[in-house]
Amino acid sequence: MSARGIIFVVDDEVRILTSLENLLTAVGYQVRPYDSAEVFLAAPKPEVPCCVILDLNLGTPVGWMCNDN
Amino acid sequence: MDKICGSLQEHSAGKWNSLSACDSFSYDHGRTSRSYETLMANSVARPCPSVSLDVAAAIVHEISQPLTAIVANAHAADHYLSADHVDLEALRATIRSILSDSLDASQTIRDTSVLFRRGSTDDAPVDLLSAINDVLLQLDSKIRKYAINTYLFIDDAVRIVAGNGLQLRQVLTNLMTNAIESMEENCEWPRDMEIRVSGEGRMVLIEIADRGHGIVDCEKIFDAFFSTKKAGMGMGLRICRTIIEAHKGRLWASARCDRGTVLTFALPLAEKLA
Repeated sequence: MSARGIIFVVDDEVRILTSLENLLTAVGYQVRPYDSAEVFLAAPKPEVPCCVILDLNLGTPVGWMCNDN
Repeated sequence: MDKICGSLQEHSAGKWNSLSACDSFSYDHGRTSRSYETLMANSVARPCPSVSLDVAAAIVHEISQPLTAIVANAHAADHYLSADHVDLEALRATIRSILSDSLDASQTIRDTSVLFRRGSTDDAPVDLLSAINDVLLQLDSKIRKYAINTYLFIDDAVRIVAGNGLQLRQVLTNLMTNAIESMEENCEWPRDMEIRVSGEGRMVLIEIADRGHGIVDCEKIFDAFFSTKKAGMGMGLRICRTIIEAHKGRLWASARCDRGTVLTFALPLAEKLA
């Protein structure tokens, strides 16, 4: 199955993160999983169309900060 | 059972003297969040609680998380099977995740269902010595695995309380499991779990002390969503507190001066039996 773009998944619940990663990989996306907003914000972002799936309630205000950025 | 009782009493024989020599475990009072008197005063004013909203919310959270993951993984497995070349490795890993999440969800249901088992046994006499021995027997393989030394000091005059034996065993199981697991990486100190049952006024104090990594915040550990463990429920202690409060008692944590934690619960003495 050919890659259809990159999806960033940010969630501090490990089982939600890994199951979403698995599902999106199974349907042919490239997935970059992050278990914290800080690591996601610091990570390099490629110059291609991307999608972010973000858990806004990450236990710190950082989830909402990501949204603002 | 006989074997456990026998070995415990033998094992404890040498230790009882040193335990009775001091009146209680040495607490770091500065880090104890509430005094015993305050706790007792609160327990009188507080009505007997049922399952509170935050515990209910935690149960919903703990069950819905694995179920969400199971649904996502089941869809993933379906997609893997529909591919031209089935990725067996990915499929196997997906099925293992589904299995593990299902077991977690059913464990949560087992752990919490004890809260809803009420009825005629609610005010039955519960022999704490027998309850503690039952739990030690149940945890025997874990005690061996972590090479834990167990010491028991029990004042026979206060070993009977009134309550729901199933729920109180669940509390003892959770507290002892936490104590044992907290010592997993303890290499410098003896891996001792000390259990002490003593009377204080009209209350029985049950203390479970470990030599584990200790805790930073004595109140936060009772937060329904808080866990210091890498995996598993963050609600075990919250459920314990709910059970103890339903028995008109209190449950709290204190840091030991040198190393480790003491979890204490106080229960009213069984009036007719005391």
